[in-house]
Amino acid sequence: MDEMKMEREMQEMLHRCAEGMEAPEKLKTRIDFAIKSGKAPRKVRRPFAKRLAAVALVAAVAVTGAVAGNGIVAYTFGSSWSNERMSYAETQAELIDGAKVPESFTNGFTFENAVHEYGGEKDEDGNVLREWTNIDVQYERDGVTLHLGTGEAHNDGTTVDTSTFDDARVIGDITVQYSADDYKAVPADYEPTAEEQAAVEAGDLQIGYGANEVTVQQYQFLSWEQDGVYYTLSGFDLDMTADELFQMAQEVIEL
Amino acid sequence: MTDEQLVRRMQQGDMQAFDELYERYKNDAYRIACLITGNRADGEDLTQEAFVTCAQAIGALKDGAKFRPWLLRTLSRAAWKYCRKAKRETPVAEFFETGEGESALSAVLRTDEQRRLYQAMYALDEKRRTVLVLYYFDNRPVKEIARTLGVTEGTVKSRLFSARRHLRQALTEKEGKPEEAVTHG
Repeated sequence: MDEMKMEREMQEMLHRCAEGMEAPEKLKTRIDFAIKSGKAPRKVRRPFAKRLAAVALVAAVAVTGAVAGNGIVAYTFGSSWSNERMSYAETQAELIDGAKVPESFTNGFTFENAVHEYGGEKDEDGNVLREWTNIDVQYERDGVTLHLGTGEAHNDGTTVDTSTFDDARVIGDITVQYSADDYKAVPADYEPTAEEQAAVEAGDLQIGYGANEVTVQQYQFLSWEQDGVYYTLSGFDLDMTADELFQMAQEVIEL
Repeated sequence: MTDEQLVRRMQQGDMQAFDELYERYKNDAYRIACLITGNRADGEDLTQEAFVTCAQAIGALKDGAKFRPWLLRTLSRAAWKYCRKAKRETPVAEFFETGEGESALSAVLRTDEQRRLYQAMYALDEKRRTVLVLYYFDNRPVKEIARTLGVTEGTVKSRLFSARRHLRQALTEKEGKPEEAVTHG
């Protein structure tokens, strides 16, 4: 094959590969969320497959993915910044059937706003296994932010795994799970120490890549299912006891 | 509105200008990212990373007219970093889907020559592959590729020369598999 023909074949080969290829619509939402959160998009590797759905409901984590041991990747991205934050009345209208969110809690946390949150799971080849839309409600008290996430519960058991949580209590007939982990935000080129790697593998530490500087926060997290709805209650550096968080979960359950 | 005007608006805090720049270049960036990495999922991640990085660092862009090459440079560097990391973790043949199976990207190729070129291209290191994509797909002249990648024109010519030699070799081999991959320089 002469040089000219090879060059033509090369051009045609590349254009054929890219034929019809367009940036996915949801990519812009992911980008907006990453910019707004101030963090570059990086995948966070976590060892517990069964907590992926939980991760997907937590807007505050601000990561785009989590890779489970079975190769399934969960990804999360929030609503576009151009979207209006929802009022309490608008939030109520957007909730899926059976979902409940209080306007305030007895300990003083009060509804601030809510956003749609989009997420899903794909395998390591990038094939989308499923996608979902959740609602993340933000509450505030004395400058502290707490998130209540609601979404459709999965029926395949991936939303519940007691063994990976630090505590679990039964409220009525609902099992509520609780965990408290350190969350370390680090620059993209950060290399974890052996000690940190061990903590990651033990499920005691999460590392998020893409931050401008290293910061460590405590991340508290509760989850439960009720009437086909999956709930998460979470926040960073809440300075709250597990008892107080369980009490808040009870208020939602009994609403 | 020109890129320069949109970048200036962005630098003044108008993020609708970013939306316009995104619409203007999203498909270019996505296609180039997919072609460099060899698959759509990674292309999507890299496109995201490039746009986010550019949006966050927009204040550093002195000449707004050069937004596109700046975006592609960011994308290329992210892709190189990604490819190096991926190669450490995954056998290259598996990563670039150049084994017995047929990848989603290559499935549309009609001629045997194109399939051989595809396999040969993914046996190259990421820097030469990027030059091939910018030259043959994005139709950019050597001078512009050099500016985009932040290297000299001589470096681009050198990479093009060795990449073409590798492609020719792949095409002349009877079984259609290249003997060696170029991995240095």
